[in-house]
Amino acid sequence: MPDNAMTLAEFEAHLDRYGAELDRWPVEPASQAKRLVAESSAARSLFAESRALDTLLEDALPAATLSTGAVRSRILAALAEQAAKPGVFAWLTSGSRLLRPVAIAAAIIPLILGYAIGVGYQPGGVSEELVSDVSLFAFVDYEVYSDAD
Amino acid sequence: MAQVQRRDQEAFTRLLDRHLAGLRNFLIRTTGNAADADEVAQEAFLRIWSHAKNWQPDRVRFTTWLFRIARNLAIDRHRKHRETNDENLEQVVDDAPDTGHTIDAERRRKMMQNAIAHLPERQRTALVLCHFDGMSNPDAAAVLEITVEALESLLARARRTLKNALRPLLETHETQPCPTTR
Repeated sequence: MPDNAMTLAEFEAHLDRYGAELDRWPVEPASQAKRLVAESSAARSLFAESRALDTLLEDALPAATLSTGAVRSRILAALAEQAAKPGVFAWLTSGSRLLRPVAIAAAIIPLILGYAIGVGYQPGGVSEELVSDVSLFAFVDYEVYSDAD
Repeated sequence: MAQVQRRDQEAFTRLLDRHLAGLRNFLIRTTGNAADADEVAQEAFLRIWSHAKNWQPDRVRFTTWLFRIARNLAIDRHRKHRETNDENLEQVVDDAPDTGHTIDAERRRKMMQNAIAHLPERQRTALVLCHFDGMSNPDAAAVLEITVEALESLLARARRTLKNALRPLLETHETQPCPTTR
């Protein structure tokens, strides 16, 4: 047996990786495999099993015979619809030179305002004094109504 | 594809005509459902159109990019419809192999389809890409975003699982002559 001969275990591992179609194998292992198959009945048996699996696979998942016409039309229709609707960026950057700054400002001003309000808001920043005033104010109303009774 | 990147719709149509059938076959084989395959194919091509600028020819082949996008969309779709799909699978399992009787071609085909449907998604995709779509191992690895070694490991596990699940079929199945040394 030559030094670079393939063992049965290596052959089986290659069959699992590449299947029985030897054209898909790397060149050197493919020629070693052919020698092994010629010499070993165990290798022939493994090869036959792998080939049977390939055939079963082919039978189980044949190529679809249905026309692609319907899905092709749907894709092209969706594309046409998409192309007819410009995106937000396209809308902002299109139009006349006079309107373009107005459109950009209309988009940016709410962002700036939102940022300013967000930064300016301080949770827990209400003074105790204010809370107490508001509370007393509520009691004033209560007393007024009590007196009326 | 360069023309598609320049928003040329005619070029997109040519691209669609060249790749739609192959992509659809891949999706039917991996999803097991022609309607799902069509939905995903449509979404994938629209993504190609809207994200054409993101494609870098020096990094990935167009077919690889297209199949990768489609596979990710199919996974998302499967996650959304998981309950329905699981029910379908259970139904298929009930239709399990009956090795005590003669197995006709149709039943053999169904048994094989069941076995393929029960493979983990990555193993099934690896098998379909390499066995049916004739993709090279490096290209299939790129679709799955894994190394070639990891892809070959997936292929080996898939084929071993199928062999074990369908051994009685393999023993009875007619085989062709073995190759001879040249």
